[in-house]
Amino acid sequence: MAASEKVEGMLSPYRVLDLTDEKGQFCGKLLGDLGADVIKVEPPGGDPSRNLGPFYHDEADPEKSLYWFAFNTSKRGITLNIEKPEGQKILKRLVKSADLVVESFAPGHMDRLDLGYSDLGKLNPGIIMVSVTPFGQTGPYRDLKAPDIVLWAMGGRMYSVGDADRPPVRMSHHSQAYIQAGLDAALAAMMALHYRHITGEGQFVDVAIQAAVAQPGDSNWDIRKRIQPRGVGGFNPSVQIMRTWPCKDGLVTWVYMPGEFGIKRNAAFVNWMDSEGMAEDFLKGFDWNNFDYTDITQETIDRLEAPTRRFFMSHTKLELLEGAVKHRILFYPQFNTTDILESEQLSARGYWTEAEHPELGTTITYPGPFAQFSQTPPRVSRRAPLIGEHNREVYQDELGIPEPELLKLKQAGVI
Amino acid sequence: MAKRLLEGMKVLDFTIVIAGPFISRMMSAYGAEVLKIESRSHPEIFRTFGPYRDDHPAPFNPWYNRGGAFGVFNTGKLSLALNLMHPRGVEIAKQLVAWADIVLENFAGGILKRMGLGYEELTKVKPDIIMLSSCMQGQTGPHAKHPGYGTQLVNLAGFSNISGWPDREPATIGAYTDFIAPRFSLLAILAAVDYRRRTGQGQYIDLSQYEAGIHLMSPLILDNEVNHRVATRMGNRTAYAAPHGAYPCRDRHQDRWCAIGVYTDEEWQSFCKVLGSPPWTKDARFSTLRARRENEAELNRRIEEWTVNLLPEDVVQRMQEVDVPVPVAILHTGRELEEHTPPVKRRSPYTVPHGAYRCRWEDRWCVIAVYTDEEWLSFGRAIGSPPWAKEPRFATLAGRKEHEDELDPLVAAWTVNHTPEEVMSLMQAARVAAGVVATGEDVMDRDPQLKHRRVFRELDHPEIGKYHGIVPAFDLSKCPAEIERAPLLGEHNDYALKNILGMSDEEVEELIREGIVE
Repeated sequence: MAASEKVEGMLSPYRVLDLTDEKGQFCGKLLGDLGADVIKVEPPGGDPSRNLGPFYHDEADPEKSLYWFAFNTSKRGITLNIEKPEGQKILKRLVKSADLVVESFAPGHMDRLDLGYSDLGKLNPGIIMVSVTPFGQTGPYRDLKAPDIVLWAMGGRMYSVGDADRPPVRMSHHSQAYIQAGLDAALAAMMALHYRHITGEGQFVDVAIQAAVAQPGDSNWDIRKRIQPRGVGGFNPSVQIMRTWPCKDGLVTWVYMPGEFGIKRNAAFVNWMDSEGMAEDFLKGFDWNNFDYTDITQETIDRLEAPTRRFFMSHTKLELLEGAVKHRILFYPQFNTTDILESEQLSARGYWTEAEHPELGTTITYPGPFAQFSQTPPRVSRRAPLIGEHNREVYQDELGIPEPELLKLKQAGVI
Repeated sequence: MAKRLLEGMKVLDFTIVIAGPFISRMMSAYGAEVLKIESRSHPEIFRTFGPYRDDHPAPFNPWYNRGGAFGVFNTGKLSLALNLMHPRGVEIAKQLVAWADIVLENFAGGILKRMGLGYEELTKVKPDIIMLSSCMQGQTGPHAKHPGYGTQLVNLAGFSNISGWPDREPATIGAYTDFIAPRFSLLAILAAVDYRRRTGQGQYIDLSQYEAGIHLMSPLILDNEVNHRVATRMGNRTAYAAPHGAYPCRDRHQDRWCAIGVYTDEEWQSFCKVLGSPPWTKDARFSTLRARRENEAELNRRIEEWTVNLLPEDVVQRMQEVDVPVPVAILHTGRELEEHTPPVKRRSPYTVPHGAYRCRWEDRWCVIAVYTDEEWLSFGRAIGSPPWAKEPRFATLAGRKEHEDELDPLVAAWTVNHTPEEVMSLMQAARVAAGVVATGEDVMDRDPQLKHRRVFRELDHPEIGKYHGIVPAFDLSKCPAEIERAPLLGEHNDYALKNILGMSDEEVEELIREGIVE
């Protein structure tokens, strides 16, 4: 399928102006993949998130950021300096024909540029403005500096993760917090659109990244006033239980579960081991009906674990995955990105999708639709835009700004 | 009162545990009417998961109404206890489909279809129904029928592999995908509702939690494909900042300690049993009092490894529950510790192990992230300009990255004398990014920002008691979220059968008699 071919999508009637940096970009990508016309508005020179790695062939270049590629598909791109009055004027013209504005500047920044919701709502009463900020628009922490690690920590997702003898640990690499907030922003945008269809009114939506991270809450504290410590499994801290096991070519996670939950599945797992002649008598004769970690000895655990360890060590990750599926046992090997790219299940479902990058002379494979829809599948309609790639298309063809004026705006550093 | 955002939207909800119920919980918060189908003979499994307020659900209270996590993920829903194993139960479910706008389910692939409640069947009852199935790996393909939980799916989706320390096994990160997938699911549903409003067409949405989750790995997937680099875990480090990590802080509570004194060999045997008889307790170096004295430093370290994960109350309980109780006491406050210092801290020739051991709750942390060289100068000033902060080797980001292993302990040596709240406010005042590594208590009870946003709302449940529900992370200026407590099992049987389906009292009684409604 050609990268820019037009197909009626789920959200075809809607236009989105995306003024976000890395904090909210996933929102526009999702709406774009669902068929909305998303225009990424970048400052002249390009969005700062273009400087985030990893890069195509490791060449640090704002046109080669794989981070940028990943979260800006299905968008057109224009450059516009909204700090300048001429830029603000142009943005306001764009707002008149837009349904949604998504932004992630510091709280109050858009108001100071006369581009806040109160200003834009006057121009277009139906406009929906979604703001993504670390802590939200109001409240005692609204102005704090908060990169991913701070939000991850303050949202409560870090304290209990990691080893008991080391500091709490976040998820490595790019920000997970920002992507979650982008997802919530897309959700909130759809809610606000729904409300607009009922009432005709737009509204302002305030998304807080910390609150997005904190969505799991902590009912252990809420109900029992217990804090979950790091590196402790929760069953019985006085015995050592294997959770992560080495296998032939990696790691696999498996725990003999106690109680009702484990009876069938532990036995099924032992049967599988036995079918390959690897379950010892102790394991085969074990009574799962009364299996409970609270009064177990380390010796019993060691005797359960020894043959289990040998079994895992004699299989590859893929063999273990296929076996778990076949025997309906609840465990998965620890996949890395190579395993994911080679997953048989994903290719059987036609998950991966391709986008052409003509300027790189290549085609890149992307994660496909986040869900399969019977009527209107989401899809990557185009690769992420180059800097100012659609300036002409948007400014000249759609807004009707004549060539000489465009040139003037360019010289003035507006576009 | 103004109309609520999703008022009038009717959701028939077959979902279980987190990834499904989280979807309808968000819908309920904005006014959708959510009818949860569950049953007494096959209760929604999350009803059995706890946490329970008193750990042991009293027998006179049906246990399936007391689970705290169920209470959190099912706020504002109605409950119909309907036995779907019975053909008439399935018939009633179909009648409810005619009432519903949206049907949600998250069983393992194909289960609902085999019960006669697949999308094709439902369209016969309601042609424009929107149905969403959310399972581990999607409804098609060789792994479709594999059941599972988010705690396992995080392994397959690669999140575990990028969590933890490079020299260690991946960290256990919990059911991350369970909190991601439902947001994708609701986005899909709302988009499908919009499409139906415009075209009159419903549709079926097959959401694989695996496929949705991989979107959060996107840059790393592209990096692998383009540069053949396999992403792995890197602790708290990042290429763009140093220092960047979690640093130890002083406790905001007093330190927590317990005192243990093992006098006799019987007590030593008991003591080892309480610890679960790990292999080191059988080591000859600890087998006699004399040997224990000789190796006391190592012994104490090993004991502390155990106590540090427990509340002192837990230590006392365990030490007292064995046949030969081990002398043990809680040292509640710093002053108490001071006062006990002579008998406890002084090494006794007759008692080994003997001492005060650090317990849980002294484990407090703060994150700091210094990106620019300007921020580094601010950081140095904020901590009182110690000489090391002026060393040229730390002056640039490249230098700090190169010497990160030396830098981190220096930062930690400063943070450890401050509470995490102090570190955060000192750093933020200097415009350096920092934050408390929040515990459950911080998030639920203390964080003023989350309080300000009213993310957690107090609810009163007849069996759980007071607890907190959760609203989404977004505030819509014209449509406030409102939540109510989770339902008791079958609490709305009458409403569903009489008000929605128009059944008579006699019909309902018959259904109950026959075990179809429970």
